[in-house]
Amino acid sequence: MTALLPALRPLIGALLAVCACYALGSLLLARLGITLWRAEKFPLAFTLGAAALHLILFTILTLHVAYAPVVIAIPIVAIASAFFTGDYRLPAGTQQEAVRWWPTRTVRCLLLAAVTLYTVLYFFNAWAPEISPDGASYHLPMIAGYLRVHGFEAVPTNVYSTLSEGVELIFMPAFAIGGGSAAALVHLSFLIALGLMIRAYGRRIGHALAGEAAAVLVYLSPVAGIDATSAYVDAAVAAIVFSVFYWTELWDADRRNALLVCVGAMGGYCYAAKYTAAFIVVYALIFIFWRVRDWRPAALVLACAATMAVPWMLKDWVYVHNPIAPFGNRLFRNPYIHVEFERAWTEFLRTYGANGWRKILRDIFFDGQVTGTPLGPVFLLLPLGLLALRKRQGRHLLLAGGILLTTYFANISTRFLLPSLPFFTLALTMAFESVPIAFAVIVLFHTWVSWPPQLRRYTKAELAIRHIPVKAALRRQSPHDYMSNSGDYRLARLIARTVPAGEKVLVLESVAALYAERETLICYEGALNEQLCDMLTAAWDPFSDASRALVFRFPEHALTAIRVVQTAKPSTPDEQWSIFELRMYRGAAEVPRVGDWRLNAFPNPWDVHYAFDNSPVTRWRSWETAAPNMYVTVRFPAGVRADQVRIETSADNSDLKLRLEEIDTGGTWKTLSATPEEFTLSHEESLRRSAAYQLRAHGIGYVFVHDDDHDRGGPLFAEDPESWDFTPMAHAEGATIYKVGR
Amino acid sequence: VVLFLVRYSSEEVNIAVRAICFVLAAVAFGSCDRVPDSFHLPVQQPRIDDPQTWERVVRMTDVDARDTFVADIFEPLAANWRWTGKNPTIRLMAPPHLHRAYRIEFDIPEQSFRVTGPVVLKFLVNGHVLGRQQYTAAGSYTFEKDVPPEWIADGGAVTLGAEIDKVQPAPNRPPYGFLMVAMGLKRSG
Repeated sequence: MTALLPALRPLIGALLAVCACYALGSLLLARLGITLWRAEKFPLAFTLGAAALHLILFTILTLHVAYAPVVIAIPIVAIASAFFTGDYRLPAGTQQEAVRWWPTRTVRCLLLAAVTLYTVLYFFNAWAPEISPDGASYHLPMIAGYLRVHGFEAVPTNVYSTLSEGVELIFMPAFAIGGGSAAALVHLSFLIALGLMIRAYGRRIGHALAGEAAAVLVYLSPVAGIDATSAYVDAAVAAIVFSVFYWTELWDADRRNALLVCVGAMGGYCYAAKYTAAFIVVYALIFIFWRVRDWRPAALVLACAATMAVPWMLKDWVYVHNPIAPFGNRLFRNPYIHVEFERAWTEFLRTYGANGWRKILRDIFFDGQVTGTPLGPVFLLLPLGLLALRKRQGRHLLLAGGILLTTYFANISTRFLLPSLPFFTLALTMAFESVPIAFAVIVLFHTWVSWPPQLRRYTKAELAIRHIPVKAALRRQSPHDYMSNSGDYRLARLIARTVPAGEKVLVLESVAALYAERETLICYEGALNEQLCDMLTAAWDPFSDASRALVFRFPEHALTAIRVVQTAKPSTPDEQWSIFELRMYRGAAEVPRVGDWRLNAFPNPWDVHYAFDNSPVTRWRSWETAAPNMYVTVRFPAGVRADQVRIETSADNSDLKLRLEEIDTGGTWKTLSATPEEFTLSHEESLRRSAAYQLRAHGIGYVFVHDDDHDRGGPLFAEDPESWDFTPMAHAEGATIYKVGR
Repeated sequence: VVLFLVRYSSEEVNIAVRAICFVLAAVAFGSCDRVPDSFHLPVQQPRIDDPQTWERVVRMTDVDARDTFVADIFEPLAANWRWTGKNPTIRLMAPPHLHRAYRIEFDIPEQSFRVTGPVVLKFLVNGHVLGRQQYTAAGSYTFEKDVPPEWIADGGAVTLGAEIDKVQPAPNRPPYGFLMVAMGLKRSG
């Protein structure tokens, strides 16, 4: 039994979370007086309960009482409550007329066989130790961090911590018991719930076979499989989104306010699960308003949605001063997420560097090279789903799917199609329901081409289900051995072995943080991280280092405040304004910087001190596209006499024009000089050691970098670590961990 | 809250609407976080040298180039060069260490060459002649050579110079030597 425990823990953890969701959902349904069909109770109660459980766990985390016993006790209490009230029971089944037509029976047998086969495949993959890239790098590390500190904590160095984590919170009780694979099993249960929901909806609208076929097509899709068997959230999001549609349809049939509560709660939970999913609320609001031409039901939906969504806004507001972080940083300016990060990140997500829609479409259906695991070629038939426009439910499905699809273009990873996929797939199968033989062919084809050995023949996706890892799932193969097949895991363990506990590691690429077990700051994942990496870059990249000096000369006189104003509009959006140092001179001598100087800047005032710290590698940057009227201001309460202002900057903002202003006795700014002379800057001091000094000053003890990462200076660290004041501590697979200092 | 809404949902919704409007407005306004008026000066970073990697090649365009001039390098700065006299000299403060190379980048302009013909330049480090080179055509040149360690082993002020054997006379001013672009010590070996 003891030997079985490691294998059973993920199952126990997942079972607890799933049962708790169902139990809470059942309790809520009973309190709301909602009666569902037998086929739809489990998936709808499960997703509704997940929304409720997430809110309870959110409260627990906010109160900082998220100790493991508490996190585990909550699901147990929920399950016990449903048991004692009897609300867990499924309603009696409706007597269905036996299907006698042999083609329909044959198709149903085929669907059942396909689902059974793939469920075994998925189950063992989810049960095996979890090493998915996003799961191990941020979905689960966040949960692990909350459990460690028993509540929410500010993680300003990880932009992913600002995303809503409604699904991750459902993983939490499971994770507390069974680790990462328990979370993956919970996620798989959402995919199963989605399939059951699609099937039940088909039955409810009188298109049972179409619903079953659509459920199977979605369930078997390679992207759904790999996503749901990992600690990701997309399959869960798809289930939650579809439940909003489902509740909306139920309300349309019954028009009870209790159903609107479910619509709203699940709509808000969509926001809590993934921001883009909240667009389904737009559909629900439009639909409800259109049906009754009364704003009050829509307002009720919105209010219920707010109960699920607003807590996440408040969390971001408190921790990063931006309720919609990591977006909207230009509106809600904060020191934690750069506007430039948001611009570059969202721009990347819109293309993933792929050239043209032809390539992207190939990727979505077959290749998966750039946009990740594909949908599968069978979904090329989706345009035929437009035939469903002839039916009322078909129009509803296509409208909801269409609204969700608009969000896809913000992130073209194939898994972002999962929320709209059930709608389009059901529309497709509804269009062909009268030809069951077509289903048989399509499902057979889909089952064949989505099976791992066949999938490998046409996809180039790095992430895909490869086999059925029975030994790993049963822990007959140690998790370490199993996960050692992953380079991410091996490198994460290298960090764990090399870096002492409590030390911070600056990681110049991504890392499976869950297994690194150290605080890792990844270059792009936070404002401070970006600043630290910029310090390193300024020590080696001639385009980014302090190589230019702009000198404003003027007649010597007393100054009480000066302001350097940027006046040009750059030609490219990635051109920022930066100042390494702003120095005052009188004659040939620099005016000493004294303590009463007061500094300010717009934008990014929080970093203005970097322009006055006498470091050749730190700089104040706008961290957004340079624009006219950006400024850096220095006030001299005691006044200074000067005849020169020297701006030390880099070659990467040479298009910009600067103007020096001083404040006059009337308090208005007037131009002192608009024609700086430009010089070069050569450094005698060691930029490399200055960068190391700054890393230490910011609490960074270690740097992790791939030796061949030219964009991050990897070869330069490897060639001469001593010149950086770095000590190589460990090296594996072309990556090195350096200790900062010796 | 959910149970409240459930109970409430069968009646009026005005209070719920007001409540949500209030919460959203509070979030929106509250999120307009006030940025501090100003910030204090930070701790100043000390100068950090690395004797092993130290190098300094003074470009005539460097903002502090004039601080290193000792003799025969004239104003004004034109593009990236300055006229020199017969014996341009600069002084650097070098750390006491080895393995440095003298480097000079210069131009012999056509107009000078027409007057002087082929010229010989001597390259000097702390008064020692490091090299001697004849130039038989106008053009851009670079001379780089390792400095014997004992010439600069003590560190401190290091005087670097070049001496041209023939100059172009100029009325009412010192004669022109050549066009200096950069001069200094580089890391070698």
